[in-house]
Amino acid sequence: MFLNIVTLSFKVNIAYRFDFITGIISEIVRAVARIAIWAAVYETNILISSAAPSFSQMTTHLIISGTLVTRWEFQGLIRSIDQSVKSGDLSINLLHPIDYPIYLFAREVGNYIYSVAIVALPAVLILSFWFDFDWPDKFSYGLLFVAFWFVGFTIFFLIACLFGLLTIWLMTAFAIEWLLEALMPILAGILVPLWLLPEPLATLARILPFAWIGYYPSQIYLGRIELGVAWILLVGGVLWVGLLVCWISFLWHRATKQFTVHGG
Amino acid sequence: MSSKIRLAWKLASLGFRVQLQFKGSFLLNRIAQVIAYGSSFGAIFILTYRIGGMAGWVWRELLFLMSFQLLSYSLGAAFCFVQFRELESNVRKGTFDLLLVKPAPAWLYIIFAKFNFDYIGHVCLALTLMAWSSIHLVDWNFITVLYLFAAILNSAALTASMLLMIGALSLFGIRVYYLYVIFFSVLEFTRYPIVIFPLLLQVTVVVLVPLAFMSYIPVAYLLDHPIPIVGPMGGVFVIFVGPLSICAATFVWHRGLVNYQGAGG
Repeated sequence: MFLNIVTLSFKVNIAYRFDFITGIISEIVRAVARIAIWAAVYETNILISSAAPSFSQMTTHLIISGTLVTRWEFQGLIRSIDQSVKSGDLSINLLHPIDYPIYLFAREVGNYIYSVAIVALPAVLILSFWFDFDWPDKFSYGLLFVAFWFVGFTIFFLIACLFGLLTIWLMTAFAIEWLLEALMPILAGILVPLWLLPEPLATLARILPFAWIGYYPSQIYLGRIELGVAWILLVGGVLWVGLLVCWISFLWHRATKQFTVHGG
Repeated sequence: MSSKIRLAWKLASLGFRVQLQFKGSFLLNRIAQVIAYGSSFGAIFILTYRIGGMAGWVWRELLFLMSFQLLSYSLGAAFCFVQFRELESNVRKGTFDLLLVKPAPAWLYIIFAKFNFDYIGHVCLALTLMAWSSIHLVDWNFITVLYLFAAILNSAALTASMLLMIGALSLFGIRVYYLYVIFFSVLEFTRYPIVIFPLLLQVTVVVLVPLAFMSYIPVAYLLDHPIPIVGPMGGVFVIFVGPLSICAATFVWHRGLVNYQGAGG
């Protein structure tokens, strides 16, 4: 059933044939803006940290973290949970032979595969010809990157789902959506890598799960983290997944008791 | 004319009263928006503060540019974004026809009946940051203050006109959703000094989609920074951009109305 939902979700996206063209243009434009900002930074030659990467590494980081791995619109998930709550459709999901959060995960995996395959990868390919783009030096880092990518998306989904479920109590998706948007620019380490953040914000951001969404996958891709440390970080990511799953299960359990449908 | 202004005021104030029926939600949403934009600006602040600036712009100047862009965008979008984005579905469902038989112009109902007060948070944040960042940047006198007000009004008019023109294309049967996506992608460039972008993109935002007049050119003129392609005269031209863009939007809107044949049934 999980795979069927993933496939259906992918097919629904495919039906909107022209979305991918604007999606690719939009991704390229945003990536160019980010790269141009950093090009201006590198021109000044006043990077103060010895941890600073080369410009091609920075370009690759911006493309991998900003265009590829985070190419998922979490707003859609939060809005759909909100709509289900307000319209009462959530009650129908209680009758389904699959838990609502798992159904949401399957649906969003389908959306994400579409986004990556049809929008992000072509955009990355075009950008890789346009700018200095590094490919992974070692096969082991390439494999680890795929693992981090999967863990990162799962964490991203779980955080968005957690925020989305809060709409059952708060009855507003708008504020929740914007609050999550507020956390991403600072904590996911995309435009501003975590090594540039001042202490103690940098240490905090390295521990919080947002770092696994954008920052760590690109650093692993670039081979800027030693293999031993990378495995520890991967275990840390899996632990975050476990913690967030427990939190969502608890919230969902409470929500099914709290949820009341008016109408008939 | 005065009856139209009275009607516009009445429609907008009714809309505001409707929103205030949910005071807690309204306030929470505005706070969330301010935090989100504050965080986004914070990321740029950290970047530019740590490295000292960008392309000759110090962080205070960048903050002034970003807050100016946010202010002009929000003022323009409050009039024309959500309203004209919905026009496409109204045309498809045929509900746009109802506006054509009202005893006032359709654009007046579209703009003011759904005037978007959600941008109050944006405006408050932008004004605060603008005041804080610009206080020591510019030699404020009567002329510069007058120029600032004129530039904000013209930039807002340019934003509103472009959003209206995109929306009005749905009257020709064009699916405008994609155009909005591209518009907002290009809008991303207006937050930063355009001199950092490749020449092709500079030409795009100065000549083809003249969004540079919305933020970079007026701010660069005030702060005495170089203005690519059009030079310092671009700063003077800013005050003609608003009326010109409104004329262009009016033309597209009227052509759209003439062309409109109704799609609903």
